[in-house]
Amino acid sequence: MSNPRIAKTVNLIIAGIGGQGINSLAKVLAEFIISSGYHCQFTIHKGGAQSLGSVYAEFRISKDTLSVLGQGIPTGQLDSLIALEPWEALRHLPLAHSNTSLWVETKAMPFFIERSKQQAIESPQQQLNALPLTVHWKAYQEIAQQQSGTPKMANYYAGLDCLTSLSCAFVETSPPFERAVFDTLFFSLIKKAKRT
Amino acid sequence: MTDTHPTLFADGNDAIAWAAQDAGVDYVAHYPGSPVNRVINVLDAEKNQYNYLINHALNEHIAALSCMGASLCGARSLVVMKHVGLNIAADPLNYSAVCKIKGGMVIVVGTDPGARTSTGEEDVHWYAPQFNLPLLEPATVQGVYKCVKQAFSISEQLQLPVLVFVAGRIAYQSSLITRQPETHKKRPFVFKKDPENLINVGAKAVRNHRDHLLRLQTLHQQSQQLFSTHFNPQARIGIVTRGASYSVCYEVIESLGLSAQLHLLNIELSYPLNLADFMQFAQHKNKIIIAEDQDGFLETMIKREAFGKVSCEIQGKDIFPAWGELSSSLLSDYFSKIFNVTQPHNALSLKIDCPERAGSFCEGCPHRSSFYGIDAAIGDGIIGGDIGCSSLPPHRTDWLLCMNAGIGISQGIAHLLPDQALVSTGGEGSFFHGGLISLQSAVENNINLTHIIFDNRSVAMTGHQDSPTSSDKTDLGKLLEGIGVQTIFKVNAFISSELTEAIQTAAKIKGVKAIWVQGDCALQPNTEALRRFKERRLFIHNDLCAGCTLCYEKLQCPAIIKAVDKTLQIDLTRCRRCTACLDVCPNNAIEVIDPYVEPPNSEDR
Repeated sequence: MSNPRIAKTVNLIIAGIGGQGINSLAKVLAEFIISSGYHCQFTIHKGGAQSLGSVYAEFRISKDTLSVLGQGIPTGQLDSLIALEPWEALRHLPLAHSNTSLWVETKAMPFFIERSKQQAIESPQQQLNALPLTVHWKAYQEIAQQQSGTPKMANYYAGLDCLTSLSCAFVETSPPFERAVFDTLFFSLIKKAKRT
Repeated sequence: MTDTHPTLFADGNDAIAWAAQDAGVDYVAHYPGSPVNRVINVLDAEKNQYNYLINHALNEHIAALSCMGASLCGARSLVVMKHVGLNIAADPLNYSAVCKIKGGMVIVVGTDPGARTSTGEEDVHWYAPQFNLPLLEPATVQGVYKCVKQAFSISEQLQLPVLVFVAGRIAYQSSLITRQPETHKKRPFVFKKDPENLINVGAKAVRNHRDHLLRLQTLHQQSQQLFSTHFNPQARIGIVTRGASYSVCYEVIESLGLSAQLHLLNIELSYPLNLADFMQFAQHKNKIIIAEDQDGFLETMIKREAFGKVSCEIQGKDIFPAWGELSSSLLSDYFSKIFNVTQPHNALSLKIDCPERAGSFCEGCPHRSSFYGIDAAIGDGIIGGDIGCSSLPPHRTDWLLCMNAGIGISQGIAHLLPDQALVSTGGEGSFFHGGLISLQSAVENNINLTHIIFDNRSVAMTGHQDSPTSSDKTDLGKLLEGIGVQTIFKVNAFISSELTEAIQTAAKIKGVKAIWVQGDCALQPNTEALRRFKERRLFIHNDLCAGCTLCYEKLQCPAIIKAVDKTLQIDLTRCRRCTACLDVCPNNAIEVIDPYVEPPNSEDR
């Protein structure tokens, strides 16, 4: 990004499939970014799928007041991608640049329709490893099962990597992104969801 | 409401609802549809606090007319629908402007360039000149809030409804917005007889039409600024844009460093075009480029109004496509080429092999076993498809087009080809939207047709808004009898063989047959579903399983998984205990067991 007026914009995508809590994580993350003293706008894309289809949230984050920014991340300007499913990581890589950071769930989720045809598709993990990018493989579902007792908490652990990613992207900028603030926001959302 | 509100995080749906509340809306009507599906959820949750009535209309035609009724009584009314809903509401909206409404009426329409949440990206802009109603198009979430509030004022000043189009990518975008609530006095609601404007026939119809067009012309005399300009006013090239395309244009111009070479005009009032504002912008320009998505509505309006008045070249759809969203890549490629500048990013241009992940039925969805039952009954026969959750996944029916396409197209085929194996399908939401009349039409015309109504007791696809069968107010069985359907089957959605048998029996009976398939949405479990979930555990006996894979490949339940050793297992973290798989298994290999008893031959089920 050569223009100094929008030089501090960091673009991040959280990707996964319906039912993994992408929507909830995006809402918490947005609140967290704002309460950490940054500016952000985000867009949720969940298509027509009530469940099990592709879902992603695009974030555009800045320390300074956001300039006028389009709703989509332009090609070549994706800075971080946190994916709860490897196919869904691959889907967004046409937006990547040479330093895009990737955090990707190790376990691929099947395509739930036309199951008999899936053998023809190459493994997403192989495709990701073959790319000229560093992939941080994370077993989010397994970690969630071990540490929180349910794989449904995978979005929380993916959220922690969003924090890591943001801290790296804004390394020269204060204030810091504090995990305690993220935890408070995330768990208050869970409490609220349980009540309703 | 007079409280001051803080700056809040909101998406376009919130902004629509909050603007209506802060503008003192009295009456709201809607038919649910993405991308503006959540507006009503926000409004419904706070209706007592803000004191407005809500009409959960059964289609957009009713929603529009009921708001006209409210605004004729002096109420401020809001009607919300998706773009294709405007087709349904078009008939009354053609007459809405001549009625001289007393309270402001705002029609919010969610548009969908890129067809992210719809079966098509129909461009409904052309309705604005057809209805001759003002059209506002916000470019940001804050802009949505501003435009909806402003639309109420314009509507009351001109005594006609005002359209506000909100593109999908703004409806689902979230950012901080500031609310500015106003104090509103309680309005007296009264319907005054007004035959001059409301009995619109003969010479009066022509006079009212003339009066309507004259009122519309006064819009531009008002002081409200409904456009903004950016960058260099002296530039020889001008870019004109509207709606969601504005911020994309703005960002691309900045990121390419072209702010000195370009002058940008964003038009919020897309119809009627303010020619004076445009002419001022067009002064000294050598070229004007209209950057907008879809068919080129703004370009057409500008060329129509400015014909013979500007000498510069005007381009638009000869550069940018009329399909899909106007992306930053398209704009960036074009501008970097004509200005010979390098794009500022370092894209990897990766070639990715990634199949589309279309939606599926959720675990425990009643439609999954219903379609299994339909396949078993008619094999390669025709399945007429409708809109809604029953169209997830999209390939299960033979067409996926519009509301009531299932029952409508099917009756044409059945009329022409009476021996063709065919069933039409649709949810109960779709049935009450217009399917009821379609089915009665089939009865009146003695067509041999079997129609399947998937009754999951909510409009699930758009966020579980109520349908008439959500409560006990409507008896679907009596209704079907009342319109002359003589053969009605009632089946359990989770027992696919019941549906198979009903279809096969219906095929032998002449006339219109209705199969009422009952099964609640898995995402809105009733008491019985919750009890099932607690008291049941499902288990596959691998010693009985013959590996036919009917449950895995044909039923395609996501909770049935293939283990490393290729045996089929049930993932209890996903299973909703609907037990649809029990009926599918020909070997009785799937069993319901006590949740507290360890499965017989497994350690990790």
